[in-house]
Order: sequence, then structure tokens, then C-alpha cells
Amino acid sequence: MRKFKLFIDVKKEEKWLNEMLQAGWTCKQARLFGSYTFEKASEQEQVIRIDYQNFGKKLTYSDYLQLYRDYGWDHISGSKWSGTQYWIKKMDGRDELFSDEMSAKALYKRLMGNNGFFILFVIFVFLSHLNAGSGIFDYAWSLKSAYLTPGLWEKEGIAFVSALLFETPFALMRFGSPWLIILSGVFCAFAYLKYRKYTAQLTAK
Amino acid sequence: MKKHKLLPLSETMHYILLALREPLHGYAIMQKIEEMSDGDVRIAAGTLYGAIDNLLKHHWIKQVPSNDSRRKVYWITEEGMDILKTEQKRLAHILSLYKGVMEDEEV
Repeated sequence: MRKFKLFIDVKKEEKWLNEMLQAGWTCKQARLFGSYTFEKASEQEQVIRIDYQNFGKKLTYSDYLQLYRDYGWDHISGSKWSGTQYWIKKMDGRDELFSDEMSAKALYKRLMGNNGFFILFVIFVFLSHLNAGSGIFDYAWSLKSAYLTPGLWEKEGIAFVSALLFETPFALMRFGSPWLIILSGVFCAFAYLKYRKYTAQLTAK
Repeated sequence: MKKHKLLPLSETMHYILLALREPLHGYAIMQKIEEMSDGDVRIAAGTLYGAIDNLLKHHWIKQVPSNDSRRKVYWITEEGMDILKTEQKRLAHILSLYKGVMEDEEV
């Protein structure tokens, strides 16, 4: 079964995956842009945890996988470059990835770092493209202006329709991408604040 | 000695450094610590991974050759041993306060 669901907050995503598990569906793969593959769960007493790690030269991705596997976790989804890693394990009372406050906080700090970096990137793109005639916002104000085919609007009949259809994906890209970048910047800011809240909650405990 | 940001050692770091006075791979560190603490301290996978990463970065532990091709084996460095000695002094002092006697001797 395929499901599409976008999450900004990994804690919410993890909660949802565990609810699906309770309902008898185990996640087999989690792809970009909120695409999940589920299979009927053979066993319900399982737990899913989402981790977020950066890998280096000294401690490599395969060291990471080996260590978690030794602990009994099964890797569901994730790659060296994906950041988020999805793990599943039979419930046995040792169902958390982190056993002290410092490391639990460090997870949120890594996520905040990643989101913070993207927010800065969006601000940079935004500022450097503000001047008209110089950047990605030139076509962002009207979809019609994003059609660049010479003489398109003077064409008629089949010639017009085929030229229009041909140019539409490009026009949508020119028109839409700046808005998408800004939207994802807003999502990142939202996620950043969430993770900051979680970190503060851990301190208060 | 300037105070290091990892000092005083957290329970997790303390146990890992103590366990690594003999060479061990990741999961074996956890098992050793469970044994050392009479089952009281169970370090979770993510916590252990992060701690090993941190200790390697500070050169308090190092990777040593092993027969296991899939698992890296770690061992405490001299720097790591110095840290343990510093911590031992600090804790001995605190213990002496518990006893109500000041014993500032080397342990």
C-alpha cells in the first residue's frame, strides 16, 4: 500500500508510523516528498524510531548501521545522504534510541542545524533575487509572464494549443519554484521552532 | 588544566571510558557497561554512537586493528586515561566529603 503524507516534524512522523503499525501496517520504505510504502504487519509488537545523523570518515555509515543492527534494530529506510534513518524493532522495553538527556537533545540540535541552514539559504536566495530583471522572482508574479515562447499569444488553433502545452511545464517551473522555495523556508522555520521546543522540554524534565 | 566541555564526565561517557580500558567494539561496550553497573546502565544505540563519535573527535579513544571486519574496535588513549585520573581525583574528593573527612591525597 502506498500513502502520501507530508511531515514537517519527525516526532509527528514517528508517531504516525507507530499508529500505522498498531493498525497492522508496517512501513517498508519512506521516500522523499512524503511517499510511504506499507505492508501488512506480521507482528504488531514492534516499534519504529526515526533517527537523524551525519556521517563522517572516522565513524562511517556502515559502522552506524552495524551498531544499530547489533542492538536488534532493523533498518527500514534511509541512505548515507538522506539524514533521516528509519528503524524498527520488536518491543522489549529497550525501545528508545537515546538513553540520556544529552544525546536526546543532540538529535534535535542536528535537526535544528539542518533546518537553520536551509532557512539561511532561502533568505539568501530571496535577498539576492529581489531586484527585478535579475532573478527567479521575475516570473513569480503572473503565470502568463512565465510563458517565454516568442509570439505565443498571437498564435491560433492547433499551433497555439501545442505551443502552450509544450511550454506549460517550463512556465509552471519558472512561476512556481520561487514560491516553493519560500514555502519550504516557512516549513523549515516551523520545524526549527518545534525542535527548539522539544529541546526545552527535555531540559525541564 | 583548562576545564574541558565534556567535564565533569556524564554517566554515559564515564562508563564508556572505563569500559574501554580494554579494546571493545560498539555493542560489546554496551554489554560490558551493563555488566559493570549490575544491569543498571543500559546505553541505547544512538547514545552510544554519538558518544563514540564525540570521544573519537577528542582523541580520548582510538580505533585499533581487529579480526572483525564488520565491527570497529576501540580503545582508550593516554589522553583518555588522563581524563579518567582527573575524574578519579574529583570523585575521591567528593567521596571524602561524604565521610566527613578531608583526604586530599592522591588515589
